[in-house]
Amino acid sequence: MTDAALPSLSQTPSRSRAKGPWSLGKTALGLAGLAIFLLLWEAAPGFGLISPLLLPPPSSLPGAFWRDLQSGAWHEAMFASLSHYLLGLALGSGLGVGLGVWAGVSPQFEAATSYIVRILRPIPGLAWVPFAIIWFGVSTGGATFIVAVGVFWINFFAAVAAVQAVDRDLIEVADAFGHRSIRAKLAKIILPAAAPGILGGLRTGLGQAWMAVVAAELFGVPGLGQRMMQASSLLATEIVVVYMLTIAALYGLCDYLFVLWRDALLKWKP
Amino acid sequence: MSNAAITLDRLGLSFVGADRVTPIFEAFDLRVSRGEFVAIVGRSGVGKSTLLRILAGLAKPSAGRFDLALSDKKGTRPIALVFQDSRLLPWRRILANVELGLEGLGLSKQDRRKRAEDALALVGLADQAGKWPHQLSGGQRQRVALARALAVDPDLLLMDEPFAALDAITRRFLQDELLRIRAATGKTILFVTHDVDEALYLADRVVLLAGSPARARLDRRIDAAHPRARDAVASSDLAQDIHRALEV
Repeated sequence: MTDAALPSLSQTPSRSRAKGPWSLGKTALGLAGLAIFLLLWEAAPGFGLISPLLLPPPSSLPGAFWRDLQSGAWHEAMFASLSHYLLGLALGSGLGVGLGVWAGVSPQFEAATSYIVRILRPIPGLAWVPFAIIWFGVSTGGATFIVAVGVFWINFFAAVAAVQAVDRDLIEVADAFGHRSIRAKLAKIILPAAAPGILGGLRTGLGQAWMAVVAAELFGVPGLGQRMMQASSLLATEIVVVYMLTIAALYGLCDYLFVLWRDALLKWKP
Repeated sequence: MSNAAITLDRLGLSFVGADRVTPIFEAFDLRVSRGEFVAIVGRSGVGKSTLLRILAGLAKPSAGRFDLALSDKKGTRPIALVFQDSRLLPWRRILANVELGLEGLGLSKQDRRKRAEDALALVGLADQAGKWPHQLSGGQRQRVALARALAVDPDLLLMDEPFAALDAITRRFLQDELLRIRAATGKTILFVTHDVDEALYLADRVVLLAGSPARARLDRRIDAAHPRARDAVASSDLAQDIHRALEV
């Protein structure tokens, strides 16, 4: 009997990720590593290996944090930096994605801008600081500009690549079903298809932007970076560390929220 | 004959390559009547798919003209296309995939939804409306692609080797589904395939394309009523003729 007429088309793929005792063990190991790191950090100045001025022990941080919370300095710096961050990120990402999508769909626009891109792209974002100061002064505008430049190229190139990689066959589907204008194609095919790549660029920008915020503020624009510079000039190194950790926490929070949003948008991905 | 749905009149189209120009069609004529189910067979590369792409407006002929006598009722599209691969949009759920062609026709959201649901029911997938394409089997996805085409209530249904990528059992099942839907809707169908038995099992008429530029080397009506016996179709005289013509 060679009757192999057994349809076995819809087998659900087993996609159970390795969860169980090992993942618990990994968490425990990670926490242990962190504890050892903090202990060594605490011990180094504690045993006189290094001056607490050069390396403030972790136990000095909560007090420093509390003092800056009470004086209001922390809130002020945090909100100032956050506004530079969000404004610069919105401007740089918006322009980067917008022009990148344009260059991705229009070979003419891509060709027309190719040499401009080649000249401007290699310029490090921080090399724009002199012009930021000349054009906008040591102000929110200047900091926003530095952040925007810092994330523009990442988003531009991510968007160009994502749009150019969109499956031609799917664009043909739009044509076959009457969606022939570039607007309809963008809305129905190109942007959704390019979304994973564009969102990848945006996420990389989230990290880059914090770097640019701190750099811009080190030149004197009020915010976390400026507060760090003030504290270090007074050798209040525990305050410097408090703000370093503040930036890490803000970045972590932004990235976490962004990933939630991205996963909601891309819930169609297998 | 005013009953023609498709009239191709001295159609010409060439493929322009790097070093030479390959004529695909030259002064090619074809007439398809309203309600006819025509299978186009031929070797790969002969221009079968190109013919569908011209009719669907995805490729422009370089010479000649074609007339499509199709109704342009409000809320419909005159032509719909089913590709060899389903080409569903992975970011849309099944129902929204079926709605794609209905968007931009000035229908209300409820009408769109209703039409898409009816089309899904017609291919027997009403219960899959809320799923993502990747959750369906290849055969189911191809049925969704058929539903997407049927949803716009086209006068002319163009099918480009729609079952070629499926396993034999699913293919037979979908062939019978197509015959059932065709009997229920009476659409004009142009069906490209390289499977002679499939053409003879489904169509009212078989056109064999061969040569470069392509010519209709054979054009026969099949009057046998449905359902046809698959083995009788495969061993018929017409099948022998077609196989012989394909080998020339």
